[in-house]
Amino acid sequence: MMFLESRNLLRRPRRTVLTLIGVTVGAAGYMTLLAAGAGLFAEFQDAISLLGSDLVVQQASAATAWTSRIAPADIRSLRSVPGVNRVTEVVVAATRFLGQKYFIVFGLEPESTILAKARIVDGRPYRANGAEMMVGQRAARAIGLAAGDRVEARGRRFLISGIYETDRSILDGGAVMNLEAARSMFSYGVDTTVVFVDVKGPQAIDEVMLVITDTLPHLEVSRSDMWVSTYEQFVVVRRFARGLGVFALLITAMWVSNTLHVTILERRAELALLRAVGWRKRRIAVLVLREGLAFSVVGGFTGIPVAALIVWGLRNIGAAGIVSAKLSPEIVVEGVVIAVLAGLVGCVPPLVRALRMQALEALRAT
Amino acid sequence: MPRDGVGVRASGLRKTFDDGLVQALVDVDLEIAPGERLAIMGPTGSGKSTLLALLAMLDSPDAGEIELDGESVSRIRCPEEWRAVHLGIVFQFHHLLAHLTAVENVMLPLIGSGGRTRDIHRKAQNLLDSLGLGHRTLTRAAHLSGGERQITAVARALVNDPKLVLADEPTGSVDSATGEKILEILDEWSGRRGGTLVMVTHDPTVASWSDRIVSLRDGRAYEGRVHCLTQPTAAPKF
Ligand SMILES: Nc1ncnc2c1ncn2[C@@H]1O[C@H](COP(=O)(O)OP(=O)(O)OP(=O)(O)O)[C@@H](O)[C@H]1O
Ligand SMILES: [Mg+2]
Repeated sequence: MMFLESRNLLRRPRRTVLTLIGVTVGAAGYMTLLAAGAGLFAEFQDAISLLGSDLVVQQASAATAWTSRIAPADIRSLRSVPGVNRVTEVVVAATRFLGQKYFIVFGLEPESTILAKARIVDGRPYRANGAEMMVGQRAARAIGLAAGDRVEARGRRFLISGIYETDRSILDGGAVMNLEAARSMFSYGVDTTVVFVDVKGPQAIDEVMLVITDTLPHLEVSRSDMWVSTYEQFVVVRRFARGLGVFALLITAMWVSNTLHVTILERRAELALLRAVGWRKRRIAVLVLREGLAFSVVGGFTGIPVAALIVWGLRNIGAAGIVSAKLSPEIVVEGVVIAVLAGLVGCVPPLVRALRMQALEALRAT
Repeated sequence: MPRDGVGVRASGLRKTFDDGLVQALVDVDLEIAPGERLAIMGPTGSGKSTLLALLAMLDSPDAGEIELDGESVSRIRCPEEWRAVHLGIVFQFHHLLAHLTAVENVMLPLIGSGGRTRDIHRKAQNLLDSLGLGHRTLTRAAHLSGGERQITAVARALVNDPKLVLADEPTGSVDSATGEKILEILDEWSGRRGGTLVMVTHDPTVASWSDRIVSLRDGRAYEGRVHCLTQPTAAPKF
């Protein structure tokens, strides 16, 4: 059954290798982008779970933590909601800072537990005097900072009191300082960007959420574990990654289509000859699709190590640790399946064209 | 093996190319009896290959009607299947697949219809053996000589035991001994099978071997061999 299929693939190494490269690149690209999107998502989920609070509150209309504004009056209202145990204000600023394009600074209350689980690998904790900060170890490595260094940022002089490590690269890629210092440095005035709320017991969570939604409609409250999922920006990022993935696949399909098309131009005479010696169109379609299937299955699988390599590279050079891609089994499966589909779809247009023309026309072409 | 050649009837065949600029066939009427061996002669560009292509249903005429075994070809729903069962074609330019060996090329028509590869292989091998090409069966077509390709192409046309063979200069590029060998094989086939043979040739001796000659000139068909002073004195392939 595979008489001609196997010979076409094995005895035309150039065509086979070129096509395989195309499918491999497409599959790897798709997997990498999905992995990057998933990694980013997981990062935030991780960082939030580190905070150990029950609920997250931010401005309802804000797309990101750093564009959210919560006024002191709202903080007081939140504190007075029955069932609320503790309200922690955090300022999250994402800006150009310390020479980095995109840097996240957390402004924390002195008694905040946000860094309770952090290991200080160098130096000591910052003092809440507004002249000191701690830098995550990824950021420190990227910028070249050590404990005891003095830096100037936004017209202020800071002492780097220590370097911390949390295994959460969103935190490790940023810096933490006193809440007030962050407020004034990034011009938040008396406002806060995000508020973490601790509730008196798990059974009170729903009740507290309900009260907040009712009495403070301009705020948005979500469970900490859900916060990231509802976090529009990252939904957008994930969609964007998937979109890029689809784009990569389109390119694959075009490449495969093009390679097969070029070879079908060469092969038009071959397919026409098969028709002339009595191969039915259906049998020829089976031939072409089988070859396409072989290409895309093999290419999908060779895409896995390539994607793994790229992801590994991303993790190692990821700027300030924002990207920490994860290549999960789901992503690998999705990548292979999509690559196979794309490869097969790519086969169709040239095949249809080859079967539509008069057999003789194609035979004459050679 | 049944002895049943295909009767061929063509009437009013017309075929033009390049938007009517080239008149390849003009009102060609042709009748070929089952089991007949017909030679088609005529100068270069007179429409011989075009006629064979129409008879093989590889192309369709602009006007006119073709019947194979009394059935109009327009009623044959799957020409590919008809060709697989009844027809063998020897193309003027071989059209072998370069990456396949000689024996694999011969196997090709039968591969398309299914069947055990081993049986098909044996059949193709025997055919090539009988054509004296047994020692070259494992050579890729790309590395065969012109004459060896011709023999392979003839074997491919006969491998399905067709009842109609359309051969476009089957002895066109081989020496006279090989040419004779090919004629012998075709002769053996038509004798045993009773098949109908339509053969284009520029060679008068090959033509005289057949039952009847039809000549094409400027797309028109004439019974017998047409002698004309304006006919090119040198046939291209000999
Ligand atoms: N696809 C095509 N497009 C344009 N012109 C064509 C096409 N096929 C055939 N012709 C023209 O039709 C005429 C007949 O061609 P055909 O191939 O039938 O000649 P022939 O008798 O087989 O010649 P030869 O002995 O050289 O093989 C020629 O003038 C040729 O140029
Ligand atoms: Mg010709």
